[in-house]
Amino acid sequence: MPRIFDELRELARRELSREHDRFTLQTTDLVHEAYLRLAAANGVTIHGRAYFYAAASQAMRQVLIEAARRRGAAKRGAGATVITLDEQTGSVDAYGDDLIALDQALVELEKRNPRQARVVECRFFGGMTVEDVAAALGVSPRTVKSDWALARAWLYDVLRGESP
Amino acid sequence: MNWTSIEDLFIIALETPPERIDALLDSHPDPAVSAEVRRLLAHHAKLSSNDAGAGFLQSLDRTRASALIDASDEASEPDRIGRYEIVSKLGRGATSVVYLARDPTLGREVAIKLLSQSLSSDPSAIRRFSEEARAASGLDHPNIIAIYEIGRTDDDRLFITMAYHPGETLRERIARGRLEIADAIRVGIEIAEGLAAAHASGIVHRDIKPENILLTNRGARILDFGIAKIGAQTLTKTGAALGTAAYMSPEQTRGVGVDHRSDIWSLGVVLYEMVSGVRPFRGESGEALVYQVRHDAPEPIGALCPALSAAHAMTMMRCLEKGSALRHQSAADLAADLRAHRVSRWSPSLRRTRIAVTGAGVVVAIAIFAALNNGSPTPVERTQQTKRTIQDVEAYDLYLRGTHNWNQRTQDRLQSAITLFEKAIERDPQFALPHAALANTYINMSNYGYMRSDEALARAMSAATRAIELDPSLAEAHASLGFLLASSMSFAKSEVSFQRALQLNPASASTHHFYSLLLMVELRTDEAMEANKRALALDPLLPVANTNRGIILAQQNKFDSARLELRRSLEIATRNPFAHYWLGAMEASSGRWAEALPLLEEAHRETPTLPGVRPALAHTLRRLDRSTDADSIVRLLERGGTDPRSRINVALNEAMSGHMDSAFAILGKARLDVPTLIGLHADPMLSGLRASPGYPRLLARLGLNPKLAPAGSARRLEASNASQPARR
Repeated sequence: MPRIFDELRELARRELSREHDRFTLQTTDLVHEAYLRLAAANGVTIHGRAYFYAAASQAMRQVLIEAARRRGAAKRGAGATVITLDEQTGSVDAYGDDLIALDQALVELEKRNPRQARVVECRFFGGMTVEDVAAALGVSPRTVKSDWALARAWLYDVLRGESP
Repeated sequence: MNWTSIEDLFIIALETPPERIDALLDSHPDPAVSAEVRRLLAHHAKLSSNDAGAGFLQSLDRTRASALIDASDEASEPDRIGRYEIVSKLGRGATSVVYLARDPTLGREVAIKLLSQSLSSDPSAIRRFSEEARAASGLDHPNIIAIYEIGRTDDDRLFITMAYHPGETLRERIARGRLEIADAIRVGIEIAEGLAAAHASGIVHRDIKPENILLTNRGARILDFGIAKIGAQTLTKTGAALGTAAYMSPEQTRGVGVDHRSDIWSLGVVLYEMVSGVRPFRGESGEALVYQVRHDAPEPIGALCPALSAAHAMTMMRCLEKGSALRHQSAADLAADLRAHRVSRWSPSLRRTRIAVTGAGVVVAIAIFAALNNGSPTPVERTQQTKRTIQDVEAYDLYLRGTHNWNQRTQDRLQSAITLFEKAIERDPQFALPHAALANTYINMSNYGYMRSDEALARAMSAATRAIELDPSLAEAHASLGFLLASSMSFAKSEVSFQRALQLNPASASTHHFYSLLLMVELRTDEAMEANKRALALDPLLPVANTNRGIILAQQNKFDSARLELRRSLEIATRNPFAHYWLGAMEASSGRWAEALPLLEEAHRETPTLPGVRPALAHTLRRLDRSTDADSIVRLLERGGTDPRSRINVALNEAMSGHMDSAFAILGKARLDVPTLIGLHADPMLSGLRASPGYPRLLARLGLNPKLAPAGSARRLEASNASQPARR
């Protein structure tokens, strides 16, 4: 499993790298795509498709958080002048900071109920459907829905810090 | 506070009728828990509504996530390259990163260009590169950046060490606005002198462009001698070189007869851009650009830059002669010519059509001539040419930036193009070009599946209509309209639009190509072949036309020739979902499933919603005993919901699984488009569909003649159905 996880991380990176953004895949498709490719590369059918998707979602989270941290460190680091030859597109750094904040909140949520953190990971980072998440986590779709509702409300509270 | 109590109360509240929630919360023994749940419920209500906040955590922002990955890659800098210590990053290009580094042995600062992995691993590229760089490293001239060394890093990437000079590239300078004429001429002279020295040593640069010119406090210096060639060739293969095609000479676009005079052309383009702020050729696609470079006369520089002396204008235009024999025959000559008229003087321009002063300020009108012939237009010719008046330079700039983005064809670039065209329209609602460009962009959005096809086509239609209202002589807009009318099954009207477009500009390869698509839909296959030949005669390298030739051959059941053409079109443009799909479909329909699979997978990666791609891929996977994977693909296609393309693919999946009735039932209700109809007529995976009686019924309902259907199709309407449209 660890090797497959490495491959998943590599896939997540490649799928997100700029050379590949010509592909019209949504995150959902991305995970399906990763599954198909990995299955093809290993010449076997991987059992437990939903489980695989959940792993891919986790890989996606890790890859993005690492990227956001690396970016953040560089930004606040040496202060070397970097000339960007491409056009600037949107505030990438702000998005990176958002993702780091989300990651930290998820770590906190994990302490309260690990399953709810997994649900957010699968839904947000993996774009998985409620049914797939239910299959991956071995619970009913109804549980996934209420976990999602609670986790989302709680994360909103923590991240946006607004009172109603 | 216990999280489990919060969970429990929250879940019970979710299932409690709204009017009883207060009572439920009040009755909880722990007031802290009920307060927390009350707050979470309020957030939940907000997030479930359609208000702001409804998008919270809904999905990953793929564009920004991708940009973040890119940005972090840039952030992970090496400490050293070879023996050099990295000081900072100077810039980043498509295939390389440039660092400022310190040479610890000699104690001097150097610039290091680190090539990308892919460029470093092509053996023939490395050989070419090394030979040329060795020759170039002997160049010693104040206007050339000297190459010190070529090396390899520990992880086997190539790098080049060069002299370091602080400064900015000419690209960065131009980005801030056009140069003063005297400055531009000075830079031009310096580059010409650098080129003259290189040419004297038998070295041609081949990639003179603003990115490769460094402005230092001791003059302009040319970068990347001997490096350009490898970069350009490798880039062209992946289609990424479209930006640099703007500086390529006509002979370079053909790949033959390139000598030092090609550099003189490129310098002409740079001069033109320095003084006017725009490039002489700004085709809306790589193909259009190459076409213009080969055939169109650039707008006279005097019209764009009235303050330029007539002598300098003539010198610059001479660099842009299509035939290299008509240009300056040496860079030294060009330098001398520029120097002779160095002091700039104002010269009234005959070409400036109008200057008006309005309440909003000075409005400059610029006439753009879509010249069909070489050479400057005479006044007589001019009346026959399309003339567009630009009321607002800012709007024109936005339009140009839009087309630049449009050229890239990726989803986010097309989105940016749309935004820029819309801004151009906002600034100048009467300006026809951005409307026409917007129409084409939405057609791409539909074809590549970046947007719901019905929505994209509707927007394209209103943009094309508006463009024609504003400028009825705009051929491109009529061609777009023709395509859109064919997409809405109005074939007769489509024909009228195409005839109009062809009359306005008979020399547009893309119009002939679009027209051939209508003819294919109408089953006028031989005529489609003729239109396709005309497109290819005008532009032999137009990738879409090359691909389409293969598809027409498939429609004529000439599969061997079709295969050959499609393979050839992949050599011209590697990113080509249509070619990948049709090649895959031909392999699959001959039972060569293993050969079909990688082709279909590639098409699926490129554009998964193309008609037939997912059904054919699922079908192929099933034949290869990979039914779990096949199911996964079918799930993807069924998940598309009400998008017309998804419905069509569901129908095609039914057809490929042998359920013809069900396929026709869905097709009968779906909104069909041009690629879909061509697939129905010609896709070898759908021969069963064509052989069934539903096919001639569908054709008749669309107003197409079933008798023209390809061999092996059912062509006769059954007697009972002949008089009325098919009904289910």
